[in-house]
Amino acid sequence: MAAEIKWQELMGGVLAFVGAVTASATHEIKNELAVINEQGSLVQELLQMAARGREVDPARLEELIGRVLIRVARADGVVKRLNAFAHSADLERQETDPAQSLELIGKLFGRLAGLRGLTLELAPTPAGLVLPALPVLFEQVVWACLRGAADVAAKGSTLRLGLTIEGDAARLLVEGELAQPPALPSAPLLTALRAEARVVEGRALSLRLPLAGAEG
Amino acid sequence: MRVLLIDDEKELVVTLSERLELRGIESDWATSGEDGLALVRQNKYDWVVVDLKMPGLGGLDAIKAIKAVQPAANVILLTGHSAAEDLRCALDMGACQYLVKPVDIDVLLSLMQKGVGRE
Repeated sequence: MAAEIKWQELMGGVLAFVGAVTASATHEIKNELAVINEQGSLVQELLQMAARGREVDPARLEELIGRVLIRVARADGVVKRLNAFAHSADLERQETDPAQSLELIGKLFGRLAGLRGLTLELAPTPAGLVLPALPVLFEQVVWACLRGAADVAAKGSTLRLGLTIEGDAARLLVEGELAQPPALPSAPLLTALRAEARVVEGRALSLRLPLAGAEG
Repeated sequence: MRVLLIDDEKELVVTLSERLELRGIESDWATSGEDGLALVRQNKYDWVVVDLKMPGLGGLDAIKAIKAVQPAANVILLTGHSAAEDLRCALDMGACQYLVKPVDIDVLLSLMQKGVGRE
């Protein structure tokens, strides 16, 4: 008999996850805006100096504007990811394309990995896979695995994230130089996804998830 | 007046430093807490502006270390969001003020010119 899903705990976890992702992404956007603000302000100040007769190098202005445009593109990328993530919680989406979700979460987790001095590598995911789950739940479990591994990973090391097929299931693996066994995702989340999690030889976190069409 | 800017966003500190120099304020910059601390050990600063979230030595630990080396240096915490807990910690570590990004240079200059005390 399938384990009963504890909805209240599950939804509490989802809310905390959405909050963590939103906080991280908006922090990233804020950083881009801060740089754009400095560069735009410097251009303005240099132009004001030019208007007062001081010589200003046009190449310097062009360089600054070029950097502003690069930063705008970076901020736009974060906004697009945040928007895609927001749609992960659309309730009518009962299936997940793991390749899309892994790419999204990999990028969203990148800032947190960087703050911990970690590099995140995502192995290519087989195309055409479908998981019978809300995208936000799959993304939450991936985030939880990455967070658990990052908490115990050696500074300056690399975390590797990958998903492979094992019969009628998908196998998610997070590997790295882990100083101790990482924390597992919460039980209500694993139950909702019909997933099994385990630590492999103290250095990797492995998650087995049924593919669409597999009997639970 | 001599200022040190510490933030892992190199373009931010480089540009802010240039803007301060245009106003006749001598400034140095570093892109990590560790590099910033090394500069604090070599030079005397009136003001140190430190980002909260950095890889390695984070802003709060950097403030504590800077104050240990130069107790007289005035430290301003630079943050993306004004989370009360972080600000309280920063004040406890010895920061005298905080600035929320994006930096309003007039506000920064005003803080420095007034030589604000701990609030």
